[in-house]
Amino acid sequence: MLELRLVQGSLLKKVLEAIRELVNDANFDCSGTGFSLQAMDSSHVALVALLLRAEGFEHYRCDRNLSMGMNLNNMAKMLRCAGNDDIITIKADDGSDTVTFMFESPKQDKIADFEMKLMDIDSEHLGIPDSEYQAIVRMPSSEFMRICKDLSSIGDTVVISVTKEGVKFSTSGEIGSANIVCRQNQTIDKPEEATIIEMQEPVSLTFALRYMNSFTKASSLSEQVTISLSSELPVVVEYKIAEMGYIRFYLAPKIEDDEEMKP
Amino acid sequence: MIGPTRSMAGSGRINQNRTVPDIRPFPPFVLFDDIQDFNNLPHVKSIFARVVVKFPRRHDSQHFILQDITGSKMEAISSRNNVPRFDALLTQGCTYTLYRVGFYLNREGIQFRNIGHGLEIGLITHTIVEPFIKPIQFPPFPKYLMPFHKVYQQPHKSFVDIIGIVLHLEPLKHIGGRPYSEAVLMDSRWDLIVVGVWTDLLQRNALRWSLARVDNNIIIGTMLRRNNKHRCLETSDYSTVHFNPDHHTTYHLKTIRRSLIQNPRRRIVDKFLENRRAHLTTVISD
Repeated sequence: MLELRLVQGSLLKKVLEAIRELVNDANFDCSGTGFSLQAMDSSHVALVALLLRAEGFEHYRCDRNLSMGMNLNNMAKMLRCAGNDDIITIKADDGSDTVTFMFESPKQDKIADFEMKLMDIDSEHLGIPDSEYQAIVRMPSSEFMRICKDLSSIGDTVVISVTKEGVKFSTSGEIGSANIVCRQNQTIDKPEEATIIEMQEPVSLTFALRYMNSFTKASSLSEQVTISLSSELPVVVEYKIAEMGYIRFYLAPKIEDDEEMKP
Repeated sequence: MIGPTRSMAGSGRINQNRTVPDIRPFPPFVLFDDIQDFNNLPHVKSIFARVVVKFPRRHDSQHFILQDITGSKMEAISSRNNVPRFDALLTQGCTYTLYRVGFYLNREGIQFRNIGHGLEIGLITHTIVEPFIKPIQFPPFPKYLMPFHKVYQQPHKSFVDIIGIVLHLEPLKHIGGRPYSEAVLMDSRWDLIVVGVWTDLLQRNALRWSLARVDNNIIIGTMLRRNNKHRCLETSDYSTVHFNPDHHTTYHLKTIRRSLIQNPRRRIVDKFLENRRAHLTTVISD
């Protein structure tokens, strides 16, 4: 049997809003250590990995490993019925083809339960080993969201370049080009507003802004975003989820023809 | 062996090319590997097959790669007056019931053949083509995957199917303006080979390729073209790449992969690449 009780139910709502634009259907894997998900977008260009550790739940019972296939849009519809302050409980019996979401108001004067059918989803689990990155940028998530939004009005791709001077976001399109440079800024009294750059080696990579904008939907989960970059490796855009886990997005560098060399 | 079958009457245009009266019995159905008697060729048989590759038509012949329901592949050839007929009848990716095909000795010793096999199929005047309508699933992967030491013996520009562990991925470069990257793969005998990957398969699997190296993915590559000059394989217009496939041959590779993850043995790859660069230097200087 599975029974997970999350006092801060709004976190789960935010998680769903963060990933449902990218992924339609996914398997939620439950084990003794936590509640997790790994799924690729339909074009297999981006990957999302979610972990909510067991310790972060008020109550976590998972008698044996369980995988629940869900349509994320349908799941989001159900979670929208929960209030922002509601306690959310997820229940599923072993071998069941449904999952139950229970929403309790803070004063427990209202309890609602919704039952959703599960799906059989064939999914590929990609191995994502820990890697050493050439550069790691930590910055305010709202700032990163704004940068991606602003640049997408100019071009389709963003070049993220990290040097000792800082991190530069560049794009170009039919109407022109744009560059945004963020320098290291370690604020003592407001750490959430700091921009911290750890660079082992300069790196410059190109990514599709369409996906970056999708990733920034997770900004509501954390005040800070961590961007890990290394040549030939997927970028990792990570948002911490309170003290209980993370959501990570992986995107391969964009591969483009070299227009100058084409015959 | 599968007995002969008839499709429903009136199956459309495709039956307009029937040249043999229905009353004549069809040859028995065979799998490609059933033909073992090479001394009494040719044999005329019936088969179920998927057209894996339909090569461009030449004026007097056209080549196809067919795959049977076990995943075994064989090259099929139409020639002279039959070329227009089979060009019209057969579509790449589709499955067919083919009555009265001829099995011949492969002529790769005197003519180029796209895949190595002791036999080849002749699409002859009496061959009848009908849609395959049986509820039988064709396998997603080839039955035979060539070990790398045999790949190195294959003729230039021939096609092979392989399986291996990704050990290394060279940085992306552009050749003729097109993105290109080379992966170093290891097979179950710990032999190494370079597979050059061109644009489409790079872009389509960009995320997988970037993760494949760090996680030592197992991949199956089909219809990879042999490049003897550069001592490598290259993806072609007909290639597919499957990451971490569910295939019966992966068991031993998974054991090797676990060993490599614990002990990457980088020296093996470095030495291999060093030798290859030395070879390429001699090739370029020629």
